[in-house]
Amino acid sequence: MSEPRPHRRHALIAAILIAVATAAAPGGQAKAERLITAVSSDKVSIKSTFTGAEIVLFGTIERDAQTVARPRAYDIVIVARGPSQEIVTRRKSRLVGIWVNLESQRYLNAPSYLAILSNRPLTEIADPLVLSRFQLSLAHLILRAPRTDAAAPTPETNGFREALLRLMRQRAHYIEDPSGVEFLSPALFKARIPLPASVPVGEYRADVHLFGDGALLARSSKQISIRKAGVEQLVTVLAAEMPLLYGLVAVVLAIFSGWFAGIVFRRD
Amino acid sequence: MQIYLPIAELSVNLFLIFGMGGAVGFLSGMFGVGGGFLMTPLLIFTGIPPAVAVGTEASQIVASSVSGAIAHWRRRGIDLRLGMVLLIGGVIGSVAGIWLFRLFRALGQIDLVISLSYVTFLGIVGALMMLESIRAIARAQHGKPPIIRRRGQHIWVHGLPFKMRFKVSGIYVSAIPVIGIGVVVGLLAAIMGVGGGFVMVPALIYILRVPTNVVIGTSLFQVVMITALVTVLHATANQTVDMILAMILMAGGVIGAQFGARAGQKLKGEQLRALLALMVLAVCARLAVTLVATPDELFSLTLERVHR
Repeated sequence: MSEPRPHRRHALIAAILIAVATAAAPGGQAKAERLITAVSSDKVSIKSTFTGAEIVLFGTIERDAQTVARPRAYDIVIVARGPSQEIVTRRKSRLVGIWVNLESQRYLNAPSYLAILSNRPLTEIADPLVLSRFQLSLAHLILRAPRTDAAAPTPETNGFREALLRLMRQRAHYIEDPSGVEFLSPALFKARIPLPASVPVGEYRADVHLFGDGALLARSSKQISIRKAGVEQLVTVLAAEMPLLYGLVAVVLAIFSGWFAGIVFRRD
Repeated sequence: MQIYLPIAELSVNLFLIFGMGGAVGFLSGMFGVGGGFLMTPLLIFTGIPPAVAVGTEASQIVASSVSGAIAHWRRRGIDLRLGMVLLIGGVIGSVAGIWLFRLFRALGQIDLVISLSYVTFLGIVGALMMLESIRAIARAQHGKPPIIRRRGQHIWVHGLPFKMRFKVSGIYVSAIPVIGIGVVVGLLAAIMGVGGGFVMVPALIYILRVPTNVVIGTSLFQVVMITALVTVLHATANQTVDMILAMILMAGGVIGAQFGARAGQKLKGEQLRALLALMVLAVCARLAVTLVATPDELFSLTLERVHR
């Protein structure tokens, strides 16, 4: 999916706003705030021209007469997470003059994509205990490592964890953006979830957290499915599920194109 | 224009990859080599994962060698019996190579193994070629005739058992060095993503004393067979053959090769070899620097199994 053109984008935003507004309309018996959210698309297709995409998430904070008055404005923290995966972090050391991967640390359940977007710095929204409990910052992300030698430094302290976070941020697979959520009105907000071209495919989930006075008031989730499509899908499925056929097709294709070029460019 | 590569799982500039295919195709057409030893490192420098670069390049070499192999077949420039014995070794070598590739990949050392193999082989072959072409140029300048090898001259290889007669080449030689050369070339193809012509051609000439009119054809026959096998093996064992990437490289490669072949005809043989040697040594040096120089980033990530 590429960047929608401006007029299409406006139409899209209008449609979402209507959807959000109508969803908010039916009155319930809610005493606390309710969070209603919508995403610009819940399916992203990776085709041959895919260069990354942006998911726009909208939401409103619904209150009714019984809702307690809040002296301060609301805060929103959005956590978008891709499928989790095993990641090995390796560190190079010099061995007889050559740089070699010597030490490594395996993490069993690292998210392949993680974007934490908020309307202001996380530390101002809630205290570290709350952030930690809901894993609302990269610093509090729980990375599970296989049990290691008790005497060895723990995976938390030996520098591998920081390296993983740093490298994933460099690839834009991990994002922490304290200005990623924008309030359009005191109750209406918007966020852009950027997906780089190299995002892994799979089921993504965006959890929207509503905070007021440092307390979590409501949560809402949206699923986003990222899939390869067209030729890319065909190639991936064939390569993974029928690797022998895939290999043979690759060879036949190569022989044919080589033979064909030989005929086209024959010089005699 | 960006294009998404489904196996490499990244987006690359179509024209950059096409241009690389064309440039390497030009050089390979000019020098009459497969070009795998240039293409694989170039792909790695562009950010393609080394495992995908090696697996994909094997399929591209099939394409760039097949028309040459057909042409030599028509001219009866292939010693099929010799090619078959070489192929036995090649199959053993490439299966072993794929196994080693998987092992080193699991240990996180495949990038190192690929770089070290390149530095070693390119260093040796480049240095030998350079020496040889400098001597040839010097001889040409002094007006001395080139040294002609005497046929039937004996070296240690001729003392080995299991002798076989290869009629087309007119040689009577033990099967052991023939299979041995096949094994080495198979290993190189599987681990380095090269055709192995740069090892095969000198080995056939200097060790087996195969006459030059069948060397290139027999070598090309072997290269096509082995890289085809390596492509299938990488696809099944490692799933690292990116067909989209291969097609772009093939398109660039075949076009570049046509212009290269024309340019090559304007240069003298020994000058060509000296230029090729220079290029081989340059790639070798570039890779050696990355092995020795302190990297900016000591850490690296390997993304493994995705829990879907």
